[in-house]
Amino acid sequence: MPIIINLDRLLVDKKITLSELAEKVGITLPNLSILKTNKAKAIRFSTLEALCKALDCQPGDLLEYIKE
Amino acid sequence: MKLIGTKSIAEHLSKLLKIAYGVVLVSFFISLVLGTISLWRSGSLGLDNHISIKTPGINFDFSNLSYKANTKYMNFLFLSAVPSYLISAFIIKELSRILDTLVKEEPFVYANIVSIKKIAKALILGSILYTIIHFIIGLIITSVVQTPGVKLTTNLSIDGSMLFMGILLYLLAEVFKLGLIIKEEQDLTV
Repeated sequence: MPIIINLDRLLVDKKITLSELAEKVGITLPNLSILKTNKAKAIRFSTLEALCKALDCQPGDLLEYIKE
Repeated sequence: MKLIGTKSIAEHLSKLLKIAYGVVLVSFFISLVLGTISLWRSGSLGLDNHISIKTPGINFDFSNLSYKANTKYMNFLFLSAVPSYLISAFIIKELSRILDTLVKEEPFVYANIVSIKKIAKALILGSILYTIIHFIIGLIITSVVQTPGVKLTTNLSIDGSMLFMGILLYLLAEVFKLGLIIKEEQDLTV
C-alpha cells in the first residue's frame, strides 16, 4: 500500500515503547503491531485520535503517502 | 446446550460423524471384496428365486422367480454400492472437518470454503454417478429377472435433489468466501 504508518519513527522520537503506547492508548499489543508493520487495512478515527493524543502529534505525522 | 465450542452439539456431532466415517469405510471394503469375489464365481450370490425391489413409497416383493438370462450379471449389483460408499465417506470426512473448526470456534477459515466446495462437487458428481448406476441396475434386473404379468422397464432419471443441493452448496461457499473477506478486513482494522 502506498500509505505507510511512521509509528516506529514516532516511538523513537518520543522515547516510548510499543507496549507502553498500547497501555496508554488502550489498544491491544497485537493490534498495534498490525499497525506498526503496515499490515492494517483501515484505521478507525477513534484509534487515530487516541494515538495523536498519546504521541502528541498530528495525523500527518503518523501517516505518509508514498507514490508507487 | 451450547451449539458450538467444547462440549457442544457440534462436538457430539463431530464424534458421531467420525464413527459413521469408520462404518462407511468398513462397508465400502466389505462391498468391494464381496463384489469382486462374486464376479469370479460362476453362479450368483444370494439369489433364491426371490427378489425385492424398493422404491420410495412401494416395495415390490417377487417370489418364485425364473430368469431369462444368465444370473451371473446379478453379481454386478454387489459392486454398485461401492461408489456410493466412497462418496458418502468423502462427504462425511469433509463435514467432520468443518465441525472441528466449529468446536475450535474458528469457522471463518479458508479450509472450510475448500471443504464446502469439495462437498458440493461430490454431490454433483454423485447425482450423475447415481443416475448411471441406477440405470445399469435397472437394465440388469429387467434383462435377467422374469416377472410374469408384471412388466419391468428401466428409465434414466437424474437425482435432481442431489444436483440442486450441490449447486446451492457451491453458491453458499462463494457467499462464505465473501464473508471471509469482510472478516479479514474487520480483523485488520485497528
